[in-house]
Amino acid sequence: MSAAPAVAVKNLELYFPARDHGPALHVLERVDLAVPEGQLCTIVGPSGCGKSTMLNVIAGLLPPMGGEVLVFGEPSHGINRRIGYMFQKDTLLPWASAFQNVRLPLEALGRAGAGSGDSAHSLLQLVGLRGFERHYPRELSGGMRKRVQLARLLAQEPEVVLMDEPFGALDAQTKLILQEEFLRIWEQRRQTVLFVTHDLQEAIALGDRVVLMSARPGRIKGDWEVNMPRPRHITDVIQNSQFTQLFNAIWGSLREEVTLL
Amino acid sequence: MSIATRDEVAENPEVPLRRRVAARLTPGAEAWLLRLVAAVAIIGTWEGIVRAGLLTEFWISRPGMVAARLVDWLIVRGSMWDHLAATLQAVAIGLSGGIVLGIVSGLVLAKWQRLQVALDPFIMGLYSMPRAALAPLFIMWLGIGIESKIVLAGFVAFFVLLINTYAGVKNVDPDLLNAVRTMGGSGTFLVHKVVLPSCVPWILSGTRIGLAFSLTGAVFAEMLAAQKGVGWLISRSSGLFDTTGVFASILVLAVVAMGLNEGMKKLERWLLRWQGEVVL
Ligand SMILES: Nc1ncnc2c1ncn2[C@@H]1O[C@H](COP(=O)(O)OP(=O)(O)O)[C@@H](O)[C@H]1O
Ligand SMILES: [Mg+2]
Repeated sequence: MSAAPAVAVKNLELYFPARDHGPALHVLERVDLAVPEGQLCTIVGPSGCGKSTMLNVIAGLLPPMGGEVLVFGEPSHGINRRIGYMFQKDTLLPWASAFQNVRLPLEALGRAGAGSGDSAHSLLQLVGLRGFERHYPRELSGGMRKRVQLARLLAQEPEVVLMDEPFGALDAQTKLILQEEFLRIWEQRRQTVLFVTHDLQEAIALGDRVVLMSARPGRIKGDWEVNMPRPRHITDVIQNSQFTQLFNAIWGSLREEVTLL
Repeated sequence: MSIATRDEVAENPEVPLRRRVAARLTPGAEAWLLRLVAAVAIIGTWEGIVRAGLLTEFWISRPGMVAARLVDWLIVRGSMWDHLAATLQAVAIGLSGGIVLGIVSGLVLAKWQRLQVALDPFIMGLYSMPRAALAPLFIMWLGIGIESKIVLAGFVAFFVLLINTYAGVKNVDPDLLNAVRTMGGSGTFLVHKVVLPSCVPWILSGTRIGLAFSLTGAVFAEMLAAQKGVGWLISRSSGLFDTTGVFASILVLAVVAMGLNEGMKKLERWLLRWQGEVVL
């Protein structure tokens, strides 16, 4: 039996209804993408092209107007527990401590019984936040909040992970450290990941594959394999000759989509 | 150039005494000192007006007489406590009922939009009108015992809680809901973990306003018709032209209301500690 891709979208179409009397906004146009199990697929594209929208559709938060979403070969409608989603926006519950936030997916799935305390603790430790269990999100730095969200994502034990510009709003050093840690964690677990970013260097350095979306209406414009060996270190990767070649190739294509305002 | 510390100012004999004292005080102590000064000024003016014969004791009593009456009512005879207990009992029962029903109704209206649309003008009508105007109706229906006070105290608080809870639900961050949805959380789980906690600040501020409304409602109903309570005491004293009694009762109410309000603020700060410092 040939293994079905972990996630596949076929011919996705999506419009946002018109505001006032303007035309409807065509956001996704015949989007086709298949991500095999265990692949870390990064997605780049100009801002506003529909990257977040596509993740929302895959996560089941937004029904597509055409086409379908397949998860391990089966049509997926609505929320799918096999999919974990780290939003572009900070979505930690502000009234819950770091520990309670990480435990949330376990409680949601009714797995919060014996042993869940341990796994929430060990996940916080895994992301380097030991000792911050009782802190509220407002008491944590931006980077630490991202770490908590990463731990919460892992607590759900998703088979497919959607990440929307997870390190987008961080300063350069924090971003680099979190990218390194994310790689370290992912290289041990190898879930299927769809990783949206507007940072082309990040896309190449982390991904097994880089997918380029066109300006709105978003289509898949290009698709590149990244064959650099793992385990990777961001600092080494950017000196790799393949990195430079890929960067030039993808940037050439991405630049056509980015309109300077 | 150097900036003098508070200690340096306090110990420098060349600095005027007033500023030296101020430098010795913490901002909190300074505030209380200023309030004490204001209190002495108000009481002094009051006493002075009577002594100067501008107004007689019959109309505005006198601080000394009010103090003596308070000592009598609170300590010597202790008769105030019964009245205070009656008023607070009506407030406690009425407010609790108003809070619970208000929260539940707010949640129900937020869930069933059609019901909200249908009832909106009636709710706003009752919310906007001076609800104490309904007191005679409650007294007619329920008599002059504690029941009518409880119902009025609850009724006035109910609407604040309803409207605040409703607004709380409508202001839940949709991204938080979506995030918890993608974890596979059920509808009940969402309400429990996201909707209710994000309503808590709204419910608390509603409760604090509702508390003030309830106290007003209970006292007002007691003034109209009752057998005891601080409101009854005020209306009886005024009926006897006992200005001192009226002032003493009002003072007790003011202190109790302030105490309850401070207690609510403390509770709010504790329950909302995740928000950090909030100005209430
Ligand atoms: N709920 C919505 N209603 C209307 N328009 C939307 C909505 N969400 C996104 N859009 C619009 O759709 C386009 C794609 O948005 P998005 O998927 O967020 O882009 P990005 O690629 O930057 O993540 C943007 O032009 C955005 O303004
Ligand atoms: Mg986006």
